[in-house]
Amino acid sequence: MTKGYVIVLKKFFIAIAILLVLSFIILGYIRLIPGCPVRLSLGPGIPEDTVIRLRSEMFLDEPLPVQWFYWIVNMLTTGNMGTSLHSLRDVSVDIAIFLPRSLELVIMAAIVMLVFSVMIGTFSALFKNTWLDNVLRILAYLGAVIPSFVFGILFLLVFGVSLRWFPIGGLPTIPVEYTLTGMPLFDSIVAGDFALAGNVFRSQILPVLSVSVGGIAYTSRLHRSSVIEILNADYIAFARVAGVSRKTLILKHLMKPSFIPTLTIYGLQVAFLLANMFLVESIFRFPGFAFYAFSVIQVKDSYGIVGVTLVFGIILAIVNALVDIGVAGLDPRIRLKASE
Amino acid sequence: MNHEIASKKINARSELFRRRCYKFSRNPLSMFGLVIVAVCMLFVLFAQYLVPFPDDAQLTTHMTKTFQAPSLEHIAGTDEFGRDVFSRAMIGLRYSLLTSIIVLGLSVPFGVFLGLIAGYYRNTWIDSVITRFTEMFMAIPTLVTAMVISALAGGGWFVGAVAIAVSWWAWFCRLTYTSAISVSNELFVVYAELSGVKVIRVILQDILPNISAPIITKISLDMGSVIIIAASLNFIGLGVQPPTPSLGAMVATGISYLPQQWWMCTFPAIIIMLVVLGFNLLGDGLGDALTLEVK
Repeated sequence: MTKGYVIVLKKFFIAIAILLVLSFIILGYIRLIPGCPVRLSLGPGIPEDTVIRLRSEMFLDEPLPVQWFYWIVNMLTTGNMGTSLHSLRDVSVDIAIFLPRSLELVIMAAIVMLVFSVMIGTFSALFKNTWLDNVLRILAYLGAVIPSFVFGILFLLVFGVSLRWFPIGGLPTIPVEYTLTGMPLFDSIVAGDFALAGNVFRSQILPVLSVSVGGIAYTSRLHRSSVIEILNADYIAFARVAGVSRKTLILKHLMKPSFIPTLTIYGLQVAFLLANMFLVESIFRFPGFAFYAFSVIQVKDSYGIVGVTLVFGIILAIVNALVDIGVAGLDPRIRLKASE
Repeated sequence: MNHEIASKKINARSELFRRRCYKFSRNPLSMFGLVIVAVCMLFVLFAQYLVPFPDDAQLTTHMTKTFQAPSLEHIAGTDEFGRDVFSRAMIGLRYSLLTSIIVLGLSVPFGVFLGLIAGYYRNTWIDSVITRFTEMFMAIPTLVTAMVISALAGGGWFVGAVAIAVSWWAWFCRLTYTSAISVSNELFVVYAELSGVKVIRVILQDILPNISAPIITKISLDMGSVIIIAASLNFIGLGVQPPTPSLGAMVATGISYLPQQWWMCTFPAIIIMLVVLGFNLLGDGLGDALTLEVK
C-alpha cells in the first residue's frame, strides 16, 4: 500500500526536477534573443543607472548557470521568482494575483466536465443504438471537432449580446479587504457578500461552459465505450440473473469500474484546461492567468515566462499524481501491482 | 517450396488489405471523412487555381466591394478590404494543412523512432534516458510551448509549425513505447533475436509493422488536432502573419464585425470544423478497419 504512494511521490519529484531543467533551457533560450531585455521593456528615456541596477538585480550580468543557480536559491529561500519586466513586480506576486482567478474557473469547469461527461456517457451506453444514443454521439462528435474559441464566440453572441442573460466579459472588482485566497467567487461568498458573488458567478458561467464543452465531448465518448465494455462483462450478466435491481446495478456495479479508464483521460483534459483558457480569456476579456501569461510571453519577460511555464508544469504534475492516486483507489489490481 | 509459401503470404496480405478496404468502405461516415480529406488535399495542391479570387490572399484591396453579404459572385461574402472570404479561407486552409503535415512529418518519425528504441531496450538506461527526455516535453501543455516558442522566435507559419512539433512528438513516442513493449515480448521477436537478425531489422521488420495500426489512427486524428492548435495560435496572433490568410486569424478579425457581418467569422469557423470532422471520421474508420485481423 505505502509503496504505491512512494511511486506517485517519486513521479511527482521527477516532474519537478524536469521542470527545473526546463527552466534552465528557457532562460538560456531567452538570452539568445539579441538586445538588452531590460532596456527594451522599459523603453527610451530611462536613466542608465536604473537599467544597470535592474540588470544586476535580475542577475542578467552573470553567466547563465550562475543566473539559474541564484534564481533557484532565491526561490527556495525567499519564495521570490525574479522581477517581471511586464509588471516590475515579483513574478510570484503576479502569479498570486492572477492564478487563483483562473484556477477557480478550472475547478468549476472540471466539475462541470465530470458531471456532464459521466452522465452523457452512461446514458449513451445504456441506450446504445437508440435515437438518444445517436443524438448524443453526434453532439459529442461536433463538440470534439469545434475549437473552444468558436464555442466562446457562440456563447458570447447568443447569451451575452442577444439574450443579455450574462455579462459580455470582464470580472467585477473584488474589494481588497475580501481577499483571502484570491479566488473571486470563493472570497465573496466567505465575506458574505452574496450580491457580489452572484455577479461574479454570472461572469464566470460563459467562460466555464465554453472551455469545458470540448472536454465533455471527448470524455463522454470515451466513457460511453468503457461503460459498454463493462456492460458486456460476465459479472454484470450474473448480477442481472441474480436479480440485482437496475438502479443498484448501474450505481454500484457499473459506475466505479467504468470510470477507471475514463479517469486517466479526464485528468489529462483537466490539466489542459488551464492552457485552453488562453483563448477563452481573450474572448471574454477575463483578467486571469492565461491573460497574464500571454502578456508576459509577448514582452519576452524571462522570469515571467519561466514562472508561467513552471506553474503550468506543476499543475500538470499535481493532476497526474492525483489521477494515479485516484486510479489506484478505484482499481484494486493496480494497488496490488504497486505493492508487489 | 519457398516460392509457394511466399505467394501464399502475399495472398494473405492482399486478402487482409482487401477486407480492410471493404470494412472501411461499408461505413458511410468513414467514406464521408475520406471525401472531405480528399477535397482538402485537392485544395492544398491546387488552391490558387480552384478559388475564384486567388489574388485576394495578399494585400489587395477593393474599396468598392467591402462587407458584401454572400452572393453568387462571392459565395461567402467579402471582408473589410473587399477581399473574397471564400478564396481567403481556402488558401488559409492550405496553410493550416501544411502546418499539420509539417508538424506530423517532423514529430512522427522522430517520436516513433525514439519510442521503438526505448521499447526495445526496455528497463535499461537507454529506456530511462529516452523516457525522461520525453517527459520533459510532455511537462508543459502543447499550446503553451507553441506560444512561447513562436512568440520568442518571431512569427511565420513555419516557425509556428516547428513550435507545435517540438512538443507533439512526445505523444507519438509514448504511444509507440507502450505498444512496442507489449509486442517485443512476443515469441516471434524472441525467435528473430535468437536466430541472429540484426537489431535494427528486428525493430523495423518485426516490431514496427505490428504496432502501425494505432500510430496510423493517431496520425489521422492528430491532423485535426494540429489544425485546431494552429488555428488557436493564429487566433491569438501567432503563427501565420498577415496579410497571408489563416483560418484562426480570420475568425479573430471576424469577431469584431459581428453580428452585422456574420459571414466573416462564420465561414472560416465552419471550414475548420468540417476539416477536423473529416480527419476524425477518417481516423475512426481507419482505426476500425486496421484492428481487423486475419482469422
